[in-house]
Amino acid sequence: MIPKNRYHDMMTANQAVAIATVRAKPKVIAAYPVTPQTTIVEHLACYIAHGDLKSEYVRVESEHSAMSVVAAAQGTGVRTFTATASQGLAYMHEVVSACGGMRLPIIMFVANRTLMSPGGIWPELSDSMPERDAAWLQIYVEDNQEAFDMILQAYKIAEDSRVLLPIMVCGDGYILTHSTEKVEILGEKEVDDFLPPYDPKHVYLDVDRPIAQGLIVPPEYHMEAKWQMHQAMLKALEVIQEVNDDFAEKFGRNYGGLIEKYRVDDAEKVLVTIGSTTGTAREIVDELRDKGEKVGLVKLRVFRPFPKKEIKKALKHVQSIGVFDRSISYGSAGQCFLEVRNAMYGTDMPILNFIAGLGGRDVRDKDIEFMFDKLKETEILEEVIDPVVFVNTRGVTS
Amino acid sequence: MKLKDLPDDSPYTPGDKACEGCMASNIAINVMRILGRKTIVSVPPCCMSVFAGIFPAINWDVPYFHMQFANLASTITGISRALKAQGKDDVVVVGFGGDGGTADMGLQALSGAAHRDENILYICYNNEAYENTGVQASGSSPFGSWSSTTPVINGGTGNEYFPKDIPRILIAHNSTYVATAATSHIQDFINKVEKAKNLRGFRYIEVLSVCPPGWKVPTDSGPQLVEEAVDSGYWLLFEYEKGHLTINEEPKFEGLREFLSKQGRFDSLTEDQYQELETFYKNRWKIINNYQVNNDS
Repeated sequence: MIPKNRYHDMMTANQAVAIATVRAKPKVIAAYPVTPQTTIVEHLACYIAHGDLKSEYVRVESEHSAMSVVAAAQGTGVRTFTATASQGLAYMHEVVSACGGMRLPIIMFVANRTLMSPGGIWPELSDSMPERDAAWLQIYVEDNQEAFDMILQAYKIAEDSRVLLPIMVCGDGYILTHSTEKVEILGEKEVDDFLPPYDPKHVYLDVDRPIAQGLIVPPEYHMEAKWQMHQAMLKALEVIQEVNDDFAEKFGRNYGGLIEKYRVDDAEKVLVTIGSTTGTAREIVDELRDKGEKVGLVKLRVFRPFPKKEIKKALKHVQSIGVFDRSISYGSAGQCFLEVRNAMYGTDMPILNFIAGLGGRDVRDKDIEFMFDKLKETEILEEVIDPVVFVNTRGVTS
Repeated sequence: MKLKDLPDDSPYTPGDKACEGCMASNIAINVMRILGRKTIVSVPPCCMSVFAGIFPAINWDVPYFHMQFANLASTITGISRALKAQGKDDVVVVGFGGDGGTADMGLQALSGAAHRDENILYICYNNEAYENTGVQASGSSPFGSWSSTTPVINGGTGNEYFPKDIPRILIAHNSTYVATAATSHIQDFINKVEKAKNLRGFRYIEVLSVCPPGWKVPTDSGPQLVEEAVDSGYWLLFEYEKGHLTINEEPKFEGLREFLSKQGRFDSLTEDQYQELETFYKNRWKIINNYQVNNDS
């Protein structure tokens, strides 16, 4: 049984996500096991069995069906939840891509894991990054507390009438999903106040008010629907900030909204990070600051919609930027790098791309130090021959 | 419900864009006359999604949800579970799928839904090929038939495989209700749809659906062909409920050769192929009949 009141406990991100889901009270949950997400749906099965949550728990036969079940249930007017990772996300991609256009505010947790091949069960963002064009918001969390908090915030953002788009909350597999740390679990009542029951005002399946969803739309009507999706994404930028501020006021945890800036205001060299690696980088920034080096970091929290303006505003004064990516678009560069460089369009500072941690390789203190060292070596744009640097890779970097 | 009591009004409205003589359109009209307006419909990509579901002119006067090819069964599962969570227990959730989306791509989701005994009604209108994309053989196309991917040129002999038996696969799931139907036997058709409407749990009805362009037959030949399909043993009429199988119409095993010869898709059928077909349909009857014989054992 989950205590009804606010409490603290040691837990993995997966357990934190499962308890956040209990607090959010979705009416339909689709469950299919895939490492390293599996313990989320295991926890949820037990919470439902204990009576902590009343929900239709559908043990589907595949991720394709998992997303179909939550999409159709959400389209019938109820709050939903599912979780996946890696191959599972790739397998459900077809259905994932349908949800945005149907304006279904589904919440899904993605336990980031590499997508084969080479195969592996360890963290990488190569599963969720390919979904960046699927009209889902993407939020990446750094630790287990943020995983809990962002599930709750995600429902509030997605269901806002200005947004009405699905959200994947993404967290590094194992590093978060299977590591235990202290998490504050908010009480049932205070979460109910923050996140009232889902009350759809837009289209949903109801025999008293027949509507159609997911129709085939010919070219003469098609572009307007896509434009609206894009507009909703852009609107989400302000909604995310509002929900962040509301959450901070109510519960005292402020994540900064779209990005988190850490010792950036007077910094010369800044590393842009995503996911759990931010914690390591923050430590190194402190160590280098102690040595007098003007370094800082920006944590990307929201990848879709991408906070272009906030990035440029935060970084326009710095000398050089390094962008950490735990994934790569082969033949081009890391996805975070491409977005950051796009955001910095019009400036002439060097921007490097550090590819690290692929397939779950540790991103160590010295790897972060290596990144800052590289930034020191690169003072002007002309010195950047190839911005993509593989970190801690045999035969490439020593 | 008797045929004469069937309401004229159908929540599947007139004016769809189906080909002339399309039986799928006829099936949708009549199923919806029986199910009525407390129904939510889903259709995956197939002929029906195109001829009745293109914005802004659609033919469903009930809530309608269009999803993807492989997930009709899981989509209507989601609708059904959401209705259950909302306490709406008097709404029928029905999916209309073609045979490609049912026997091939959608089989996994269909199996999952049958296994969980989801409270859904799945209607497969079986026109025996991927007709929507221009007549390609599917997992439920008959042996020896022409399709655009089983050409009969340069020694080709048409479809080299026999059709999957989806009702039998679903019977193997111990499903709540599995039936086959034909528009030629309309009272039997009404009885089955009405029974399925009132049952709870996983219900599946497969209806033979003549496709004039795909079968290469005249547009007014559908009703007659379906009747011949039943008489010849090509299409069996049975229903399976709670472990009991009932054969609703004993085939006469007459006229298979004539039935096939009327269809351009069998133009290249050799005598050897015909013999194989005849054996196949007789054997299938034996298998289904065995279920009935062994009902009480």
